[in-house]
Amino acid sequence: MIDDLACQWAARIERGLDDAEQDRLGQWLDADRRHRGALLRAQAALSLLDRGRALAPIEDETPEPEPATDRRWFLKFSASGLAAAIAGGIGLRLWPKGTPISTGIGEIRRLPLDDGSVAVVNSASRLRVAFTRDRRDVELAEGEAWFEVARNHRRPFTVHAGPVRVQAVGTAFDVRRRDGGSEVTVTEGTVKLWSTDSDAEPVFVSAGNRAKVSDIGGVEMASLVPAAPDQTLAWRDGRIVLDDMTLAAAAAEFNRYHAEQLVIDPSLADKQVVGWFRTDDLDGFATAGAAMVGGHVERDRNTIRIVP
Amino acid sequence: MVTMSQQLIGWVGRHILPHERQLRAWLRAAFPAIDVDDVVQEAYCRIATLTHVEHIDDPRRYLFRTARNVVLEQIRRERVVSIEAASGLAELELAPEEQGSPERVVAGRRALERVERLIEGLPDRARQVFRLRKIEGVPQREIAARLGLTETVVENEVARGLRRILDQLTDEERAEMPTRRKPASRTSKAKEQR
Repeated sequence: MIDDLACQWAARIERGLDDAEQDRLGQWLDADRRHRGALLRAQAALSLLDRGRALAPIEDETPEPEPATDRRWFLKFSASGLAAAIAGGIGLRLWPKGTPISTGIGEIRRLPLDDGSVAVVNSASRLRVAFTRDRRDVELAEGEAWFEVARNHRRPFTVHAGPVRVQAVGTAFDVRRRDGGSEVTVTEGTVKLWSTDSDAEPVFVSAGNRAKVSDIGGVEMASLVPAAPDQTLAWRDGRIVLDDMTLAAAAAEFNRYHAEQLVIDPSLADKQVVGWFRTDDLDGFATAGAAMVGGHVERDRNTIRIVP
Repeated sequence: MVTMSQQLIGWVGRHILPHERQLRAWLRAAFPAIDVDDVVQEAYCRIATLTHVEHIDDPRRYLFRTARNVVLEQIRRERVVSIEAASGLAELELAPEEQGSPERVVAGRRALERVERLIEGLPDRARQVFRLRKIEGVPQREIAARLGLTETVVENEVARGLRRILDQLTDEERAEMPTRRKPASRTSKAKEQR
Protein backbone atom coordinates (compact mmCIF):
# COMPACT_ATOMS: atom_id res chain seq x y z
CA MET A 1 0.00 0.00 0.00
CA ILE A 2 2.72 2.43 1.02
CA ASP A 3 4.66 1.23 -1.99
CA ASP A 4 1.75 1.85 -4.33
CA LEU A 5 1.46 5.41 -3.15
CA ALA A 6 5.21 5.90 -3.23
CA CYS A 7 5.31 4.74 -6.86
CA GLN A 8 2.43 7.07 -7.67
CA TRP A 9 4.30 9.98 -6.16
CA ALA A 10 7.51 9.05 -7.91
CA ALA A 11 5.65 9.15 -11.22
CA ARG A 12 4.07 12.49 -10.38
CA ILE A 13 7.34 14.04 -9.28
CA GLU A 14 8.80 12.91 -12.55
CA ARG A 15 6.30 14.93 -14.58
CA GLY A 16 6.46 17.90 -12.21
CA LEU A 17 4.24 18.84 -9.27
CA ASP A 18 2.00 21.87 -9.01
CA ASP A 19 1.79 23.78 -5.74
CA ALA A 20 -1.22 21.92 -4.44
CA GLU A 21 0.49 18.62 -5.13
CA GLN A 22 3.65 19.82 -3.43
CA ASP A 23 1.57 20.44 -0.33
CA ARG A 24 -0.11 17.08 -0.52
CA LEU A 25 3.22 15.36 -0.94
CA GLY A 26 4.53 17.21 2.09
CA GLN A 27 1.52 16.05 4.09
CA TRP A 28 1.94 12.51 2.94
CA LEU A 29 5.60 12.46 3.89
CA ASP A 30 4.84 13.92 7.30
CA ALA A 31 2.04 11.47 7.99
CA ASP A 32 4.37 8.52 8.51
CA ARG A 33 8.15 8.56 8.69
CA ARG A 34 8.27 5.45 6.54
CA HIS A 35 6.85 7.29 3.58
CA ARG A 36 10.10 9.07 2.91
CA GLY A 37 12.04 5.81 2.73
CA ALA A 38 9.44 4.25 0.47
CA LEU A 39 9.51 7.27 -1.83
CA LEU A 40 13.30 7.16 -2.01
CA ARG A 41 13.17 3.52 -2.97
CA ALA A 42 10.56 4.13 -5.67
CA GLN A 43 12.43 7.09 -7.10
CA ALA A 44 15.64 5.11 -7.08
CA ALA A 45 13.99 2.34 -9.09
CA LEU A 46 12.58 4.87 -11.52
CA SER A 47 16.05 6.32 -11.96
CA LEU A 48 17.17 2.88 -13.14
CA LEU A 49 14.54 3.15 -15.84
CA ASP A 50 15.85 6.43 -17.08
CA ARG A 51 17.07 7.18 -20.47
CA GLY A 52 20.21 5.51 -21.56
CA ARG A 53 21.06 4.04 -18.23
CA ALA A 54 20.70 0.52 -19.45
CA LEU A 55 22.24 1.17 -22.83
CA ALA A 56 25.10 3.40 -21.88
CA PRO A 57 28.26 1.84 -20.55
CA ILE A 58 28.16 1.68 -16.79
CA GLU A 59 30.48 4.46 -15.89
CA ASP A 60 30.26 4.60 -12.16
CA GLU A 61 30.46 1.00 -11.14
CA THR A 62 33.78 1.36 -9.43
CA PRO A 63 32.80 0.91 -5.82
CA GLU A 64 34.87 3.79 -4.63
CA PRO A 65 35.92 6.87 -6.50
CA GLU A 66 39.56 7.74 -6.10
CA PRO A 67 39.61 11.47 -5.80
CA ALA A 68 43.14 11.99 -4.58
CA THR A 69 45.73 11.74 -7.30
CA ASP A 70 48.50 11.21 -4.80
CA ARG A 71 46.63 8.16 -3.61
CA ARG A 72 46.52 6.74 -7.09
CA TRP A 73 50.17 7.31 -7.36
CA PHE A 74 50.64 5.63 -4.06
CA LEU A 75 48.56 2.62 -5.00
CA LYS A 76 50.53 2.12 -8.17
CA PHE A 77 53.69 2.43 -6.25
CA SER A 78 52.59 -0.04 -3.66
CA ALA A 79 51.27 -2.50 -6.20
CA SER A 80 54.52 -2.54 -8.09
CA GLY A 81 56.36 -2.75 -4.82
CA LEU A 82 54.39 -5.81 -3.86
CA ALA A 83 54.84 -7.37 -7.24
CA ALA A 84 58.54 -6.83 -6.86
CA ALA A 85 58.41 -8.31 -3.39
CA ILE A 86 56.81 -11.43 -4.73
CA ALA A 87 59.06 -11.68 -7.76
CA GLY A 88 62.08 -11.08 -5.58
CA GLY A 89 61.11 -14.06 -3.51
CA ILE A 90 63.09 -15.24 -0.62
CA GLY A 91 65.38 -12.30 -0.01
CA LEU A 92 62.44 -10.15 0.95
CA ARG A 93 61.28 -12.40 3.69
CA LEU A 94 63.58 -10.68 6.11
CA TRP A 95 62.68 -7.44 7.75
CA PRO A 96 63.18 -4.61 7.17
CA LYS A 97 62.65 -5.25 3.46
CA GLY A 98 59.23 -5.21 1.88
CA THR A 99 57.08 -2.25 0.99
CA PRO A 100 56.91 0.54 3.54
CA ILE A 101 53.63 2.34 4.01
CA SER A 102 53.07 5.31 6.23
CA THR A 103 50.30 7.75 6.86
CA GLY A 104 50.61 11.32 8.05
CA ILE A 105 48.69 12.81 10.91
CA GLY A 106 45.02 12.90 10.02
CA GLU A 107 45.47 10.72 6.96
CA ILE A 108 43.52 7.51 6.57
CA ARG A 109 44.40 5.31 3.65
CA ARG A 110 42.57 2.41 2.10
CA LEU A 111 44.96 0.05 0.38
CA PRO A 112 44.00 -2.90 -1.75
CA LEU A 113 46.84 -5.39 -1.37
CA ASP A 114 48.10 -7.64 -4.08
CA ASP A 115 46.51 -10.81 -2.75
CA GLY A 116 43.00 -9.38 -2.70
CA SER A 117 43.18 -8.35 0.93
CA VAL A 118 42.43 -4.81 1.97
CA ALA A 119 44.21 -2.76 4.59
CA VAL A 120 42.81 0.47 5.97
CA VAL A 121 45.56 2.37 7.69
CA ASN A 122 44.76 4.88 10.40
CA SER A 123 46.39 8.22 11.09
CA ALA A 124 50.10 8.43 11.95
CA SER A 125 50.88 4.79 11.29
CA ARG A 126 53.81 3.00 9.80
CA LEU A 127 53.76 -0.46 8.41
CA ARG A 128 55.62 -2.68 6.05
CA VAL A 129 54.15 -5.27 3.77
CA ALA A 130 56.18 -8.27 2.66
CA PHE A 131 54.44 -10.96 0.66
CA THR A 132 56.14 -14.07 -0.64
CA ARG A 133 54.84 -17.17 -2.31
CA ASP A 134 54.10 -18.92 0.93
CA ARG A 135 53.47 -16.20 3.43
CA ARG A 136 52.06 -12.74 3.87
CA ASP A 137 53.64 -10.61 6.57
CA VAL A 138 52.76 -7.14 7.68
CA GLU A 139 54.78 -5.33 10.28
CA LEU A 140 52.91 -2.67 12.18
CA ALA A 141 55.64 -0.45 13.56
CA GLU A 142 53.35 2.27 14.81
CA GLY A 143 49.70 3.19 14.84
CA GLU A 144 46.69 1.17 13.76
CA ALA A 145 45.35 -0.70 10.78
CA TRP A 146 42.33 -2.82 9.96
CA PHE A 147 42.77 -5.79 7.66
CA GLU A 148 40.31 -7.73 5.61
CA VAL A 149 42.22 -10.80 4.65
CA ALA A 150 41.68 -12.74 1.46
CA ARG A 151 41.32 -16.42 2.23
CA ASN A 152 44.35 -18.51 1.42
CA HIS A 153 45.20 -21.38 3.74
CA ARG A 154 48.58 -21.96 2.20
CA ARG A 155 49.74 -18.40 2.67
CA PRO A 156 49.18 -17.36 6.26
CA PHE A 157 48.65 -13.67 6.84
CA THR A 158 50.50 -12.45 9.94
CA VAL A 159 50.65 -9.02 11.48
CA HIS A 160 53.75 -8.34 13.54
CA ALA A 161 53.19 -5.69 16.20
CA GLY A 162 56.41 -5.66 18.19
CA PRO A 163 56.66 -9.16 19.60
CA VAL A 164 52.91 -9.65 19.26
CA ARG A 165 51.73 -11.80 16.37
CA VAL A 166 48.24 -11.83 14.94
CA GLN A 167 47.61 -14.49 12.35
CA ALA A 168 44.56 -14.84 10.17
CA VAL A 169 43.53 -17.11 7.38
CA GLY A 170 40.43 -15.43 5.98
CA THR A 171 39.10 -12.88 8.35
CA ALA A 172 38.91 -9.20 9.26
CA PHE A 173 40.53 -7.59 12.24
CA ASP A 174 42.04 -4.42 13.61
CA VAL A 175 45.42 -4.05 15.31
CA ARG A 176 46.34 -1.00 17.30
CA ARG A 177 49.76 -0.58 18.83
CA ARG A 178 49.91 0.98 22.23
CA ASP A 179 52.71 1.43 24.74
CA GLY A 180 53.79 -1.98 25.95
CA GLY A 181 51.31 -3.97 23.93
CA SER A 182 48.67 -4.14 21.22
CA GLU A 183 44.91 -4.23 20.97
CA VAL A 184 43.28 -6.61 18.53
CA THR A 185 39.62 -6.33 17.53
CA VAL A 186 38.22 -9.14 15.41
CA THR A 187 35.27 -8.28 13.18
CA GLU A 188 35.08 -11.45 11.15
CA GLY A 189 36.36 -15.02 11.53
CA THR A 190 39.07 -15.93 14.00
CA VAL A 191 42.68 -14.92 14.54
CA LYS A 192 45.52 -16.61 16.33
CA LEU A 193 47.41 -14.42 18.72
CA TRP A 194 50.75 -14.79 20.45
CA SER A 195 53.88 -12.94 21.47
CA THR A 196 57.39 -13.98 20.53
CA ASP A 197 58.53 -12.65 23.91
CA SER A 198 56.46 -15.17 25.80
CA ASP A 199 56.18 -18.92 26.14
CA ALA A 200 52.44 -18.72 26.57
CA GLU A 201 50.32 -20.79 24.18
CA PRO A 202 48.69 -18.89 21.33
CA VAL A 203 45.20 -17.63 22.00
CA PHE A 204 42.37 -17.73 19.49
CA VAL A 205 40.17 -14.68 19.27
CA SER A 206 36.91 -14.88 17.36
CA ALA A 207 34.65 -12.29 15.77
CA GLY A 208 33.05 -9.91 18.20
CA ASN A 209 35.94 -10.01 20.64
CA ARG A 210 38.79 -7.78 21.47
CA ALA A 211 42.03 -8.82 23.13
CA LYS A 212 44.68 -6.71 24.76
CA VAL A 213 48.07 -8.34 24.52
CA SER A 214 51.02 -7.03 26.42
CA ASP A 215 54.32 -7.35 24.62
CA ILE A 216 55.46 -9.85 27.22
CA GLY A 217 52.52 -12.07 26.51
CA GLY A 218 49.65 -11.51 28.92
CA VAL A 219 46.34 -11.64 27.08
CA GLU A 220 43.24 -9.97 28.38
CA MET A 221 40.03 -10.75 26.57
CA ALA A 222 36.99 -8.59 26.34
CA SER A 223 33.88 -9.36 24.37
CA LEU A 224 32.28 -6.58 22.44
CA VAL A 225 28.68 -5.61 22.60
CA PRO A 226 27.24 -5.82 19.09
CA ALA A 227 27.57 -2.11 18.41
CA ALA A 228 31.14 -1.91 19.56
CA PRO A 229 32.98 -3.14 16.47
CA ASP A 230 31.39 -0.28 14.57
CA GLN A 231 32.46 2.02 17.29
CA THR A 232 36.02 0.74 17.42
CA LEU A 233 36.33 0.87 13.68
CA ALA A 234 34.51 4.14 13.06
CA TRP A 235 37.90 5.64 12.22
CA ARG A 236 37.75 3.88 8.87
CA ASP A 237 34.87 6.16 7.94
CA GLY A 238 36.65 9.18 9.35
CA ARG A 239 34.54 9.18 12.46
CA ILE A 240 35.14 8.92 16.15
CA VAL A 241 32.43 7.45 18.29
CA LEU A 242 32.73 8.37 21.93
CA ASP A 243 30.69 6.25 24.24
CA ASP A 244 30.98 7.24 27.86
CA MET A 245 34.62 8.08 27.57
CA THR A 246 36.46 10.53 29.76
CA LEU A 247 37.17 13.88 28.17
CA ALA A 248 40.91 13.24 28.53
CA ALA A 249 40.66 9.88 26.74
CA ALA A 250 38.52 11.43 24.02
CA ALA A 251 41.04 14.23 23.52
CA ALA A 252 43.80 11.64 23.24
CA GLU A 253 41.78 9.92 20.49
CA PHE A 254 41.45 13.19 18.58
CA ASN A 255 45.08 14.08 19.05
CA ARG A 256 46.04 11.04 17.03
CA TYR A 257 44.66 12.77 13.99
CA HIS A 258 45.95 16.28 14.40
CA ALA A 259 49.22 18.15 14.64
CA GLU A 260 47.39 20.76 16.65
CA GLN A 261 46.80 19.25 20.07
CA LEU A 262 43.92 19.38 22.50
CA VAL A 263 44.88 19.85 26.12
CA ILE A 264 42.39 19.20 28.86
CA ASP A 265 42.52 20.94 32.19
CA PRO A 266 43.10 18.27 34.89
CA SER A 267 39.95 19.34 36.73
CA LEU A 268 37.88 18.33 33.69
CA ALA A 269 39.86 15.29 32.61
CA ASP A 270 37.60 12.68 34.21
CA LYS A 271 34.28 14.07 33.05
CA GLN A 272 32.35 11.80 30.70
CA VAL A 273 31.53 12.66 27.13
CA VAL A 274 29.47 10.96 24.45
CA GLY A 275 28.87 11.62 20.80
CA TRP A 276 29.88 11.17 17.21
CA PHE A 277 32.43 13.37 15.54
CA ARG A 278 34.34 13.57 12.34
CA THR A 279 38.00 12.92 13.02
CA ASP A 280 38.93 16.05 11.09
CA ASP A 281 36.63 18.26 13.14
CA LEU A 282 38.88 19.12 16.05
CA ASP A 283 37.22 22.47 16.60
CA GLY A 284 33.78 20.94 16.60
CA PHE A 285 34.83 18.41 19.17
CA ALA A 286 36.54 21.03 21.33
CA THR A 287 33.42 23.18 21.34
CA ALA A 288 31.05 20.29 22.00
CA GLY A 289 33.38 18.71 24.55
CA ALA A 290 33.72 21.97 26.46
CA ALA A 291 29.96 22.40 26.45
CA MET A 292 29.43 18.85 27.73
CA VAL A 293 31.68 19.32 30.73
CA GLY A 294 30.73 22.94 31.40
CA GLY A 295 34.09 24.36 30.38
CA HIS A 296 35.24 26.65 27.61
CA VAL A 297 37.80 26.68 24.84
CA GLU A 298 41.05 28.66 24.81
CA ARG A 299 43.57 28.74 22.00
CA ASP A 300 47.32 29.15 21.86
CA ARG A 301 49.39 28.86 18.77
CA ASN A 302 49.40 25.08 18.45
CA THR A 303 47.16 24.08 21.28
CA ILE A 304 43.49 24.12 22.02
CA ARG A 305 42.73 24.05 25.70
CA ILE A 306 39.54 23.11 27.41
CA VAL A 307 39.48 24.86 30.78
CA PRO A 308 36.79 25.44 33.43
CA MET B 1 12.84 20.17 1.91
CA VAL B 2 10.19 17.89 0.56
CA THR B 3 12.02 15.73 -1.90
CA MET B 4 15.37 14.04 -1.77
CA SER B 5 18.35 15.01 -3.86
CA GLN B 6 18.85 13.55 -7.31
CA GLN B 7 22.27 12.48 -6.18
CA LEU B 8 20.88 10.37 -3.36
CA ILE B 9 18.18 8.91 -5.58
CA GLY B 10 20.68 7.97 -8.26
CA TRP B 11 23.06 6.50 -5.75
CA VAL B 12 20.35 4.37 -4.18
CA GLY B 13 19.27 3.20 -7.63
CA ARG B 14 22.75 2.18 -8.65
CA HIS B 15 24.28 1.00 -5.42
CA ILE B 16 21.58 0.03 -2.93
CA LEU B 17 18.59 -1.29 -4.83
CA PRO B 18 20.59 -3.97 -6.69
CA HIS B 19 21.42 -5.56 -3.33
CA GLU B 20 17.96 -5.49 -1.80
CA ARG B 21 17.09 -8.88 -3.20
CA GLN B 22 20.04 -10.51 -1.46
CA LEU B 23 19.37 -8.56 1.67
CA ARG B 24 15.84 -9.92 1.83
CA ALA B 25 16.99 -13.47 1.19
CA TRP B 26 19.56 -13.15 3.92
CA LEU B 27 17.16 -11.63 6.44
CA ARG B 28 14.65 -14.38 5.74
CA ALA B 29 17.23 -17.09 6.29
CA ALA B 30 18.82 -15.59 9.36
CA PHE B 31 15.61 -14.46 11.06
CA PRO B 32 12.65 -16.62 10.15
CA ALA B 33 10.50 -14.79 12.69
CA ILE B 34 11.17 -11.29 11.51
CA ASP B 35 9.01 -9.08 9.33
CA VAL B 36 11.40 -8.58 6.45
CA ASP B 37 9.35 -5.85 4.76
CA ASP B 38 9.36 -3.94 7.99
CA VAL B 39 13.13 -4.10 8.36
CA VAL B 40 13.78 -3.17 4.74
CA GLN B 41 11.36 -0.27 4.95
CA GLU B 42 13.05 1.01 8.06
CA ALA B 43 16.47 0.68 6.44
CA TYR B 44 15.35 2.88 3.53
CA CYS B 45 13.98 5.39 6.03
CA ARG B 46 17.42 5.72 7.49
CA ILE B 47 19.08 5.96 4.12
CA ALA B 48 16.60 8.69 3.21
CA THR B 49 18.05 10.84 5.97
CA LEU B 50 21.54 10.83 4.46
CA THR B 51 22.59 14.25 3.32
CA HIS B 52 25.61 13.00 1.44
CA VAL B 53 26.97 9.62 0.43
CA GLU B 54 30.55 10.24 -0.69
CA HIS B 55 31.86 8.82 2.55
CA ILE B 56 30.25 5.44 1.93
CA ASP B 57 32.87 3.29 0.24
CA ASP B 58 30.89 0.14 0.22
CA PRO B 59 27.16 0.72 -0.23
CA ARG B 60 26.30 -2.95 -0.12
CA ARG B 61 27.94 -3.35 3.21
CA TYR B 62 26.33 -0.16 4.36
CA LEU B 63 22.88 -1.48 3.43
CA PHE B 64 23.41 -4.77 5.22
CA ARG B 65 24.80 -3.03 8.23
CA THR B 66 21.91 -0.62 8.38
CA ALA B 67 19.44 -3.49 8.19
CA ARG B 68 21.38 -5.36 10.83
CA ASN B 69 21.15 -2.39 13.15
CA VAL B 70 17.41 -2.25 12.60
CA VAL B 71 17.14 -5.93 13.52
CA LEU B 72 19.32 -5.42 16.57
CA GLU B 73 17.17 -2.60 17.81
CA GLN B 74 14.05 -4.65 17.33
CA ILE B 75 15.59 -7.50 19.25
CA ARG B 76 16.60 -5.19 22.05
CA ARG B 77 13.11 -3.83 22.22
CA GLU B 78 11.88 -7.42 22.05
CA ARG B 79 9.65 -6.42 19.26
CA VAL B 80 8.83 -9.09 16.73
CA VAL B 81 11.85 -11.26 17.35
CA SER B 82 12.18 -13.89 20.02
CA ILE B 83 15.32 -14.29 22.06
CA GLU B 84 16.17 -17.47 20.16
CA ALA B 85 16.42 -15.45 17.00
CA ALA B 86 19.34 -13.66 18.55
CA SER B 87 21.42 -16.72 17.74
CA GLY B 88 21.25 -15.55 14.15
CA LEU B 89 23.19 -12.52 15.24
CA ALA B 90 26.43 -14.42 15.25
CA GLU B 91 26.12 -14.78 11.51
CA LEU B 92 25.24 -11.17 11.03
CA GLU B 93 28.82 -10.09 10.73
CA LEU B 94 29.69 -12.87 8.36
CA ALA B 95 26.73 -13.37 6.13
CA PRO B 96 26.52 -10.27 4.00
CA GLU B 97 30.15 -9.76 3.22
CA GLU B 98 30.86 -12.47 0.69
CA GLN B 99 33.26 -11.23 -1.91
CA GLY B 100 34.72 -7.91 -2.84
CA SER B 101 33.98 -5.42 -5.51
CA PRO B 102 33.65 -7.60 -8.61
CA GLU B 103 30.50 -9.11 -7.13
CA ARG B 104 29.13 -5.69 -6.53
CA VAL B 105 29.81 -4.57 -10.04
CA VAL B 106 28.09 -7.64 -11.35
CA ALA B 107 25.11 -7.02 -9.09
CA GLY B 108 24.67 -3.53 -10.51
CA ARG B 109 24.89 -4.78 -14.04
CA ARG B 110 22.56 -7.68 -13.42
CA ALA B 111 20.00 -5.33 -11.95
CA LEU B 112 19.99 -3.36 -15.18
CA GLU B 113 19.63 -6.48 -17.29
CA ARG B 114 16.82 -7.58 -15.08
CA VAL B 115 15.12 -4.21 -15.48
CA GLU B 116 15.26 -4.71 -19.24
CA ARG B 117 13.62 -8.10 -18.96
CA LEU B 118 11.02 -6.86 -16.53
CA ILE B 119 10.03 -4.08 -18.87
CA GLU B 120 9.59 -6.62 -21.63
CA GLY B 121 7.26 -8.53 -19.34
CA LEU B 122 4.89 -5.61 -18.75
CA PRO B 123 1.48 -5.38 -20.42
CA ASP B 124 1.50 -3.71 -23.86
CA ARG B 125 0.69 -0.14 -22.99
CA ALA B 126 2.93 -0.01 -19.94
CA ARG B 127 5.74 -1.53 -21.94
CA GLN B 128 5.44 1.14 -24.60
CA VAL B 129 5.44 3.86 -22.03
CA PHE B 130 8.55 2.49 -20.38
CA ARG B 131 10.40 1.92 -23.59
CA LEU B 132 9.76 5.47 -24.72
CA ARG B 133 10.86 6.76 -21.35
CA LYS B 134 13.91 4.72 -21.02
CA ILE B 135 15.30 4.14 -24.43
CA GLU B 136 14.32 7.35 -26.08
CA GLY B 137 14.16 9.55 -23.01
CA VAL B 138 10.77 10.97 -23.92
CA PRO B 139 9.14 12.95 -21.09
CA GLN B 140 5.84 11.67 -19.71
CA ARG B 141 3.86 14.56 -21.17
CA GLU B 142 5.10 13.82 -24.65
CA ILE B 143 4.55 10.11 -24.26
CA ALA B 144 0.90 10.89 -23.60
CA ALA B 145 0.70 12.90 -26.82
CA ARG B 146 2.51 10.28 -28.87
CA LEU B 147 0.42 7.40 -27.67
CA GLY B 148 -2.81 9.38 -27.70
CA LEU B 149 -3.36 8.88 -23.99
CA THR B 150 -4.14 11.34 -21.24
CA GLU B 151 -1.31 12.34 -18.96
CA THR B 152 -3.10 10.75 -16.04
CA VAL B 153 -3.23 7.43 -17.82
CA VAL B 154 0.48 7.61 -18.60
CA GLU B 155 1.23 8.55 -15.04
CA ASN B 156 -0.78 5.64 -13.75
CA GLU B 157 0.95 3.29 -16.12
CA VAL B 158 4.29 4.53 -14.88
CA ALA B 159 3.25 4.14 -11.25
CA ARG B 160 1.82 0.66 -11.72
CA GLY B 161 4.65 -0.55 -13.89
CA LEU B 162 7.17 0.87 -11.49
CA ARG B 163 5.52 -0.92 -8.60
CA ARG B 164 5.64 -4.18 -10.43
CA ILE B 165 9.22 -3.80 -11.54
CA LEU B 166 10.26 -2.71 -8.08
CA ASP B 167 8.75 -5.82 -6.53
CA GLN B 168 10.26 -8.16 -9.03
CA LEU B 169 13.62 -6.49 -8.92
CA THR B 170 13.97 -6.60 -5.19
CA ASP B 171 12.40 -9.81 -4.10
CA GLU B 172 13.21 -13.33 -5.15
CA GLU B 173 9.83 -14.67 -4.07
CA ARG B 174 7.74 -12.12 -5.80
CA ALA B 175 9.94 -12.37 -8.86
CA GLU B 176 8.46 -15.80 -9.50
CA MET B 177 5.17 -14.23 -10.52
CA PRO B 178 4.34 -15.19 -14.08
CA THR B 179 5.26 -12.56 -16.59
CA ARG B 180 3.71 -12.45 -19.98
CA ARG B 181 5.66 -13.18 -23.11
CA LYS B 182 5.26 -11.45 -26.39
CA PRO B 183 6.41 -12.22 -29.87
CA ALA B 184 9.22 -10.26 -31.44
CA SER B 185 7.33 -7.36 -33.06
CA ARG B 186 7.24 -5.53 -29.77
CA THR B 187 9.68 -2.73 -30.53
CA SER B 188 8.21 -1.70 -33.85
CA LYS B 189 5.42 0.39 -32.41
CA ALA B 190 7.67 2.48 -30.26
CA LYS B 191 9.87 3.18 -33.23
CA GLU B 192 6.99 4.18 -35.47
CA GLN B 193 6.07 6.83 -32.99
CA ARG B 194 9.20 8.80 -33.69
